[in-house]
Amino acid sequence: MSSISIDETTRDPAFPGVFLRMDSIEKSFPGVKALQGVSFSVARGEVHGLVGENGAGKSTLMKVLAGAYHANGGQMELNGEIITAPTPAAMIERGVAVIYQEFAQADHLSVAENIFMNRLPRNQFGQINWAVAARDAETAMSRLGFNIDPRRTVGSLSVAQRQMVEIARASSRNAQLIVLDEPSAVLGDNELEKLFATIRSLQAEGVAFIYISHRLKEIFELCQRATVLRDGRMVSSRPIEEWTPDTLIQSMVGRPIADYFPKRNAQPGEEVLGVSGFSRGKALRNVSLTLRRGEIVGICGLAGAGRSELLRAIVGRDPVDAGEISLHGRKQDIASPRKAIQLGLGFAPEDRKTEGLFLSQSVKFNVTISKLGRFGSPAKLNLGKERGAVRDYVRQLRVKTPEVDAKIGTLSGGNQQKCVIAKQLNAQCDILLIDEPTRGVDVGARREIYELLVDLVEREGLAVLMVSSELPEIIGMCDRILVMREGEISAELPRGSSEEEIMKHATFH
Amino acid sequence: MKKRDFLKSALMAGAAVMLATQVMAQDKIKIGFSQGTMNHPWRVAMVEGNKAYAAENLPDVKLIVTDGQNESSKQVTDVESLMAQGIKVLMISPLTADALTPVVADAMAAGIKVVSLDRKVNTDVTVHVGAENTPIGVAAGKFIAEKLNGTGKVIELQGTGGASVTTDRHDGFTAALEGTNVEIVAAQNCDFLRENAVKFMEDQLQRFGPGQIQAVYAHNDEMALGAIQALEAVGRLDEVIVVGIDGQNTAFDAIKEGKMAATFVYPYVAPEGMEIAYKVAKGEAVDPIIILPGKQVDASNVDEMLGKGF
Amino acid sequence: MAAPDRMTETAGRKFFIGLPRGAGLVWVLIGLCILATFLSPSFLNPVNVTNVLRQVALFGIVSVGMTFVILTKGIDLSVGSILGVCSVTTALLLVAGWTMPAVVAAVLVIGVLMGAVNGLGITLGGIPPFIMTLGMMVMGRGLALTLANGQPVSIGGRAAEFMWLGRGAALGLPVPVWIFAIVAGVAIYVLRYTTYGRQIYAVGSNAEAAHLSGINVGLVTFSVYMISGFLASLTALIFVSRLTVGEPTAGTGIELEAIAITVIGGTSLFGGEGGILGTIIGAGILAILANIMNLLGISPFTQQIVKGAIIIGAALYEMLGKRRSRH
Repeated sequence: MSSISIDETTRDPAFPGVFLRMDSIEKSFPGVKALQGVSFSVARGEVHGLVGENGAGKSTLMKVLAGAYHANGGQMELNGEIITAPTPAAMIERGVAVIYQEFAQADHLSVAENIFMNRLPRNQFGQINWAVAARDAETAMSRLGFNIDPRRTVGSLSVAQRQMVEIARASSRNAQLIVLDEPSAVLGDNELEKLFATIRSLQAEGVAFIYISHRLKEIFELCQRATVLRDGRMVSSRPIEEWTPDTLIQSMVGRPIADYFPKRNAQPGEEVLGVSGFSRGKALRNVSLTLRRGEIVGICGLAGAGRSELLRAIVGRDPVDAGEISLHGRKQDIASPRKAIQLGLGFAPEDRKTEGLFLSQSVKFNVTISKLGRFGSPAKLNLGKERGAVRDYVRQLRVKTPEVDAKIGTLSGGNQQKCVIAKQLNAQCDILLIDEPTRGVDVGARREIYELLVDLVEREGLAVLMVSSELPEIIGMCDRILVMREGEISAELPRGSSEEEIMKHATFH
Repeated sequence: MKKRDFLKSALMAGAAVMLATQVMAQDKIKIGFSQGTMNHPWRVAMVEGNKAYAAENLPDVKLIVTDGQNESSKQVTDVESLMAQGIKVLMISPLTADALTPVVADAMAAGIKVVSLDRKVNTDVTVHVGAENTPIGVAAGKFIAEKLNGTGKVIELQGTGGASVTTDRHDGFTAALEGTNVEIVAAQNCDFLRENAVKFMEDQLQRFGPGQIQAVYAHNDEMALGAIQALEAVGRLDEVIVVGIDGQNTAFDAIKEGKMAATFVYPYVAPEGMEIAYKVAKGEAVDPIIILPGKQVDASNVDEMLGKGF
Repeated sequence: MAAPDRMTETAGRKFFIGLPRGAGLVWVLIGLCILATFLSPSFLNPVNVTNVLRQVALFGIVSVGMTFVILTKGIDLSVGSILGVCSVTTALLLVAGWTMPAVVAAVLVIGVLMGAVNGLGITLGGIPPFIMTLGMMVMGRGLALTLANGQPVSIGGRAAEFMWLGRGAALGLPVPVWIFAIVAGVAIYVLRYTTYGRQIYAVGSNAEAAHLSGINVGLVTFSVYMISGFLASLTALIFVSRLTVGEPTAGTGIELEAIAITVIGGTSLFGGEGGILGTIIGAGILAILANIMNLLGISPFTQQIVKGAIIIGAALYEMLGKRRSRH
């Protein structure tokens, strides 16, 4: 692959000078070479995108940067100073801050305490000065363009707000380089804009960012340069103008991608699901929709608009105050997930790890648990039959696992998601409700899941109702698009609608 | 694997020593001693006294001691285990009569000679050795009735429920009180333990105000000392006389100090237990019931007893 | 080119379902037996072997119930007290002249009911299992002492007809061993071959996912406490037969023994992992250990130290195994 000369990459005229230089970094674990000869640099005031499939080495590289891992080869330079003994404390002192997907926050402490953890302002007796802490916290946050009451407990904040608190903490420590690891995975578009604004304002002060994301749209919108990692190696590091989405993806997966979303031959049949008048307080307000066999219908909107709430209400996980459901034209009362499964509704929840999977159990267990009746009577299960059926699903859906007895927690995100879908197929669902079908799934596997969904509706006659925060996915996959806003369906748009149109209906206008 | 290595080394270490002693023990007479519990100095004295006697005087005896840890089911298991090791004689001080009866009957039926110490079981044994508890109870009752001039209220601190000792010490006491105006106003199983006695007394001293209690009868010295502790704490020791049983040195000291009124020496069956078990093992004729004498100790004769207890 | 997190872990060879650490535990058991044979000539004595098997059975029955409970990520501290109440009740009913079948039925029902109270508190009341069963443990012991008036209750003349349960034998093995064999066999079958068994693993592994998978989490949780109570009452019947008394203090501490056996056998306190085979081996390991130490004349106090060390060692082993598989 191409090797880039280090000096070529230092080009930003506003803040000349490289802040971070990683040179030929090597990192190995027993039996595995996680990083081989990775070199790239980040200039002051630059937002540098870091992309790659899951397992490409992004997290490992950032852990080396954070001082959590010790590189086996190569060197790191910060501000011209070669770092000889990187420890997390040393790197933080030198201005490196990493904000992980799982925040390291103390839920029960206040915003101010989290921002100034271990550095709370004290008076001459050593007592904590709460007034000063609150004031300083407000200053730190308003500098970044947002404000939250510093006395609120962090546990009461939304995910987006917690992320802002994290950034405030980093900035109050005068971080010169902030690494954001998949920040947008949990944000709606509105919050994303706020995040971007914060990043840009810090950028204007000369703070550099490394932005890791699967969402290429954001990379193109935000970054000045982008580096692609694949299989532990740096494939290419270029200014953003020299990339296109296709070339970026191609570098990530190493093969050309003709069309990202599968071709679709939609032939919707009779109505299979009808929801009318679903209401529950402010979360759901008189929501009605229909779904036909052979259709993929998408539900999108900002975080908190009620998308997941709608799916959970349909499958009987959460109650509704009013409303009716009909399946295949017959009115049904779906009081519990058990009933939903019996009626042929499959549900792949938003958070796979905490709601969808039994991580400590095998693939086989996970796939069959919601309908074991297929393998014998409740008092006499035919284990051989079960194993055979699961093997079939694994083959059919191309799940990468050495055997069906493997612990599902060891599979990659994409393969886990395939197992979740296989579970619904095993339960003989004919309507599949899926919340965030490709969250935490890398680029290569995403395509497989899209193909799988299309296959299910076109060849197996299922109907799919899909919630997603990724507009390209909604636009690329769905026959009809339902836009939700504040608990209501604000619009139904046809296939091929533009992002602007969708956003218009998702926000206030 | 860490666990396996740990087990291996721990047991291997004991193996060499044990193996040697096992070999040497093949020709000795095996006698098993099942003690019900070791939570009281009297019982410890019983075990240690008999062990010491065997070690000094009986070189051809291998004595195996087990501790039932105050649980009947454990003691039953202990006896089964002793039987499996091929003992000739079983010395046993059972926790309770009923629970140990079946397994002792099994031992007798298997040809093992059984010597019961202090407490009895409800089946025939080869020899029972112990002091008689009923006469002690009677003596204690008479003592208190005299001291109270025939009228007064007594609190009784009883021993382990279901043990023959407790029943006898209680029955003797109540028999002696018949015809007097001395009445037992409160009684509780304190299991022969000091802590239980203290707790119970503290509550009773709240229930019965000053001047309402004249005497405390405890089935053993530990409990009597516990009562004294509770009485001292509220400053009512001088209006209550305390009587115990056993003959502990600490009780003698308390009598000397005037805190306790009297105790009754209750022999702890050592080394008599071992002596008799050895005779039985050798096939000598022994009386089926051997009663060890007791003795009343009060302020009048405590000086000669100081330090002679356990 | 696999990233470090692609290592996979199998659930052990097929035969050893319920032994997540593979066959390692069986080797420990076999190793202990061999060691014991060397250390004491009495170990292989048929009477001694019978004694050991009986001990395994007496603790094993309650441990099976505990395994079910722990698999659902719960715990039952009240089994000892349930045993106490049932012991006393058995004796009282026998003395009152009830027929044997009636006594057995009544006592088993009491065990199930006490377990049901636990289950209700935990599912409907939302009380954490530790607290609920702790309360039941204290209350139960008080109830047993009250019923018995603080004294053991002798079954007197009924001892002869009742003795087969705890002191009888069939085909050379004590009756309790047969009972344990049946209980364990049924338990293994249920956990492996029935829907209910799977549901238990699911609830312990991830209650929310179990709910979404159509499982009635409350019902499953409720039921395992009833099973635990039932097995405690069954053990009580055996105890009374063996001792010919119903002791209010019977079973004191047996809950800790049962938990130790279950955990040593590989069932995780975090739910969803483990099984009955492991529990059987755990019971065997602890019983043989106690037996060896008794035969060697090691003081009971030292025995306690060793037992505690084994429990900690087993837990450490499980933790290390988890950490290894994460890398």
